[in-house]
Amino acid sequence: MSDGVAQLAVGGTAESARRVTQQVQFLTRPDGGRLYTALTLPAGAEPSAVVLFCPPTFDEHSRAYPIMREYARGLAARGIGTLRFDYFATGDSAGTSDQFTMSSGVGDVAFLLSWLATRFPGVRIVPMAVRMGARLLLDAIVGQAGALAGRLTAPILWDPVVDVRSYVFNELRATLSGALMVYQGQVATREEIVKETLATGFCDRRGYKLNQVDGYPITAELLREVGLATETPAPWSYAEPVNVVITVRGASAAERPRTQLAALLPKMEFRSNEDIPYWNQQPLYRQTRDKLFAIADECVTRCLS
Amino acid sequence: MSQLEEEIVDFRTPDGSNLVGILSRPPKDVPEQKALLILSHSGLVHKAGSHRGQHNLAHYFASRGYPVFRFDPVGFGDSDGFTPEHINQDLFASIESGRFVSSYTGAFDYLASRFKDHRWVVSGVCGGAISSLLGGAENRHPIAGYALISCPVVLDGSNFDYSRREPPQMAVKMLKMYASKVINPKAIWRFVSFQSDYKLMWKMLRTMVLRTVDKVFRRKKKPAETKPAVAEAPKAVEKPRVALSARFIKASREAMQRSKMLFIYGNNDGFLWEFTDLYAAAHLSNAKRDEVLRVVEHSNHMFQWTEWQQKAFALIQEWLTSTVLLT
Repeated sequence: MSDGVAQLAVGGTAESARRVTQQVQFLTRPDGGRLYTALTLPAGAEPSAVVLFCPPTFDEHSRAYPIMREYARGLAARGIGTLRFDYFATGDSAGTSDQFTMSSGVGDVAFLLSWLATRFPGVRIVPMAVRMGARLLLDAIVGQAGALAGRLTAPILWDPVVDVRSYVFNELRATLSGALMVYQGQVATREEIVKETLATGFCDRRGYKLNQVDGYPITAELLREVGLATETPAPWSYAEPVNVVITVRGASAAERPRTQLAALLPKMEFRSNEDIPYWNQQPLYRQTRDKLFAIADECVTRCLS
Repeated sequence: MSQLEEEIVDFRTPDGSNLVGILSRPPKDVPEQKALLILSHSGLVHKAGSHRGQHNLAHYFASRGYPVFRFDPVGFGDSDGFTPEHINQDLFASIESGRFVSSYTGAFDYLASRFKDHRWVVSGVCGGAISSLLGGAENRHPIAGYALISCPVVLDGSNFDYSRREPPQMAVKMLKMYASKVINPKAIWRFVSFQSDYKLMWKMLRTMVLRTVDKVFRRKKKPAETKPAVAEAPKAVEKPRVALSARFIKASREAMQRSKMLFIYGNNDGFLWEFTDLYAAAHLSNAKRDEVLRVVEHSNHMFQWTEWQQKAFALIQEWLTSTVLLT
């Protein structure tokens, strides 16, 4: 290790290990928050392009981790670098879990885009994201201007969550399912969790805080940011071109998400991938997703052409 | 209180794989304890842990003076290597059979250069617990204590029959939960509109049915009938049922002889009953079982909720100060 950077030759086979290297380090945000990052690069050569790969949130983050890593290694073997990271207050980054907010996540993405632009001058940057990482990425890109904005390609979004209000509200259902085992009955509704958390900061039932998703606190600030403090959400859309890959169990299941996403991403180029969802499965069941990776590769090639 | 310090480190295993770990050190104004906690993965999740549990554990103990080292074993997280495609049951089986012992050897060799004067305590959740047990018991480095959360005691594998694995106690709990909702209009609507978790309901019902069949079959079967006078043609090959892991039994026996042990389970976790009914009933005295076992009320297998995590950490801390650090 040198200067706090762990340098590794990585890869599944001896051949790919020779072609790929990885630097794991903490990068410090301007406000002092430390972000855990893994930069995967082609060994012995400057990358032809770099990807900023924004992860999902909550436990989808750890479930998608191996697949994101494998894709990054595959890209590096073909000459493209990838920066993966954990948002502040998530994963191995610093910060307690209740410090995670949308604005903090957006700030992390913006900071890392700038970092990549400085670290790899003159190289195009491909913004890529999985699940809720997509919304954080798009909000960060909207705030970019000048030379950096000119170096960004169209984003590539894997199974994007852009309607974060519905997403967080839906995820609270799983919390209540878990609570059934504890209380042997229903002790709160999702509406009550939201209302009490907005009013007092938490929703306590017999010593347990129900304002959480997968064990991650849902704070009043986060609820406000995703739009759950108001009856009707603030309108949101992203007007620039984006590439979307949706994983569905059958081709017919793609139509509903396509329609929903089209309303928010009007210039979306849509592709569907028939496979088992990877973000709500235990990781490592299958690390490589050949079809997903092939579609993502096609998007990367188009973005860089 | 000042911030605790975190450092990313890399090290090699004896077979040359590069692994990544994070060392969390106590803040400068907190006196450092002479005990080091070591853990790797959590189930199938990398070093941050399911529900960020291992990150939280590291911060809980580092802020109380204990350095904590957590790392990604080969093929997990950001470490070198690749986990080939598996059926999860076979992946679990390989972990329960010591898949990561070599990763622990690499970690211990690295830590020996920095923490030789500390007592080493290995920990982990689920697969991470059995990896820590095997990694600790099957290495030459002295381990002062094992704090194992939701540790599996059986050997998994796709060659085993899982149909009777769910303990009846858990099935009863789940079915009672559903029974409490049979007059709830919302629940009825969810059931008839295909929104319920039918798979789970069927699993629990099947458990109860199979157990009842087993019971009836055992009662009806007379000893003479168990040995047919005439050999029958072999039936279709039946899978053996999931059973205790010989490697777990051996490692835990050796660990108990040499070190202090703590097993923590949630009482909403079927693994608790496997520990008590399969392992402890056959291999531990009641006194020893009560000495090594702690139960966190309501917790599920992966200690998903923060409150359960905090209770488990407090149990480990109490055990560290009252047992490990006293000897």
